[in-house]
Amino acid sequence: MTTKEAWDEAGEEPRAPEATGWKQLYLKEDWWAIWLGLGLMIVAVILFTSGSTVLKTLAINPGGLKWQTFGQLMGHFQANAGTYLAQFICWLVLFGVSARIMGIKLGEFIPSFIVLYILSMVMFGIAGWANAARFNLEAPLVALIIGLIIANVVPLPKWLDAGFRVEYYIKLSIVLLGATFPITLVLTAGPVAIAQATIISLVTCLVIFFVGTRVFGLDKRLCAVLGVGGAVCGVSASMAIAASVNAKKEHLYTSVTLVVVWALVMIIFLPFVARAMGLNAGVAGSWIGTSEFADAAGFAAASTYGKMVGNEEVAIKAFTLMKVIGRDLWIGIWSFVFALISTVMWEKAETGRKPEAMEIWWRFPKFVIGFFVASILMTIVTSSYSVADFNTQVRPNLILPLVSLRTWGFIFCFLSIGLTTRFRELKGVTMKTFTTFTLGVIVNVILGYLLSVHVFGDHWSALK
Amino acid sequence: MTPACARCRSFVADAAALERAVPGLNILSSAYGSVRAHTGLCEVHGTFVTPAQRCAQFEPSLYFSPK
Repeated sequence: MTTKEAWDEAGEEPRAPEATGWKQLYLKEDWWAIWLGLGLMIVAVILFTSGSTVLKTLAINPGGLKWQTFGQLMGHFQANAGTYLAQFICWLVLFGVSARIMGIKLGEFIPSFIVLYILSMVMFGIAGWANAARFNLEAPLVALIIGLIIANVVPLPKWLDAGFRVEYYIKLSIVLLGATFPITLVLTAGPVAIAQATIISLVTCLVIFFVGTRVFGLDKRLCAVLGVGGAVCGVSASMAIAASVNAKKEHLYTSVTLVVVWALVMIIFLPFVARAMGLNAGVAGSWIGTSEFADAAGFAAASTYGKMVGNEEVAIKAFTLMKVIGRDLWIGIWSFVFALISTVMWEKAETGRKPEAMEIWWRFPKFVIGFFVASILMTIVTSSYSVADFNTQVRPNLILPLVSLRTWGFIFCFLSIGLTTRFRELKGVTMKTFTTFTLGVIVNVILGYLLSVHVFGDHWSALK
Repeated sequence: MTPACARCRSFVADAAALERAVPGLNILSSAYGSVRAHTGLCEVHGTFVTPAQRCAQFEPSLYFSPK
C-alpha cells in the first residue's frame, strides 16, 4: 500500500512536508546531537570548576570493573542501583524529549529505550569481566552479535526500532569525542586525513560507477547511489545522492543491503586481520577509516581493535580523523556533482530541478560542527592547567566522565545496529550489482591499506 | 506550469514514513539526519526527489488543501 492509499483508507491527515530553514535546528538529529553533546560538556565543565563530583558519579559504568566472580558484578549493581537509576532517567529525559520533538512517538521510544539500557548494562557487565579480553569479548563485538541474534531469532515488534537510533547515538558520541580531542591534533593530522580521503573517495566512486555502467550495463542512477555509498559514507551518502540523480526507491534499498552486509563483515574482518598483521593502533584506525562505509560500523571496528591492542583512544582518534573529518565531508560535494551531471547530461524532460552549490552545505553532516566546537572549547578550558594538574585533576574529574558518557553512547549505538538488522528484510541483489559494489569494497580495503600503512604510515603510527 | 513536489500529495518527506518505505534504512543511517536535507520520496514514480521538482502528475497535498 502506498502512503497516499494509507492516508485515504485511514482518513488520516498527512504530516506537513519536511521543515526547512531554522526548523532543522530542532527537527534534525544532527543538531540535537550537537545540543546534547555540547550541553553535557558545558555542564561537566561547570560542575568540575565548582568542585562537584555529581557528573563523575553519574557517568558510572561497570566496563572497567575487572570482576572475577558473578557475585562481584551483582554486588556492584546492588551498591550502585540508585546511581544507575538516576543515570537512566537522565538519558531517558534527554533522548526522550529530543526524540519527541523530532516526531518519534514517546509511547514507542520509552519501552524501547528501557530494553536498550538494560541490554547495555549487560554488555558493560560482560566487557568488565577480568577474562573478557582473553576470549575476544570486546564490548562492541559482543553488543553487535547479541543484538543480531536477538533481532533475527526473537520476533521483536517493529515499533521497538523507535529507540534503537543508531545514527543519533553515534552522532552524540562523536560530539562528546570532540571534547577529548585536542584541536591542535585536528589541525596537524587533519590535512593528511583529508588528502587520503580525497584519493579514496575519487577512486572508489569512479571504479564502482564505471564498472557498473560500462562493464555490467547497470542503471547509471543505481551506480551513482552505490558509488558514493561505497566511497563516502554508506547509506547516508546513498540517500543524499538519491535525490540528486532521481534514483528509484529500489536503488536505495539495494544500497542498504550491500552496505549493511559488507559493513558487518568488515566490523569483524578488519580488527582481526589488523591484529594478525600487528598493525599500530593509529595505522589500523586509519585503515578502518578508509575501508568502512558507515560511521557507526567503523567506530565498532576501530573500538574493537583498540581494545584488542590496549590502545582504544588512538585507534578511535585515527578513525575519526580519516572517516568523520576526511571522508564524510565528501557527501555534499558528490551530491552537487551528480546533480549537475544528472541535470545537464542525463535528463531529457524539464523537471524544475537545478543543481545548487548550497547543496554542499545542506547535505553537510552538521554533527561534525559539534565535534569541532567541543574540541576547541575543551582545548581552551584545559589550556591553563599544567601537565601535572591535568593528569591529577582534569583527567579523572572532567575528561574520564565524558569518556564514560561517550562509551554509553557507543554501546547504545552498537547494540542498535544489531537490534535493527533483520536479514529477512534485506533486498535480494543481482550478481552484477553485488560484484560492482564488492569491487568498490576491495578498492577501499587495498588502497586504504597501502595509503595507511605504506604512504602515510609514519604519520598514522606517530599519532598519540 | 504545475506547482512543485513540495506541495504534492505524493511527496513523502516525513522521516518516519521514509524509514518505513525503505526497510533497513535505519540500520546504518537515518531519515532524521542532515545529509537527507529535504529529500522526499515520490509515491507516483517511486523515485527520490527534491521539493522544487515538478511533474504532470501533481495532486495537491491534503495538508495544504484539507478535505
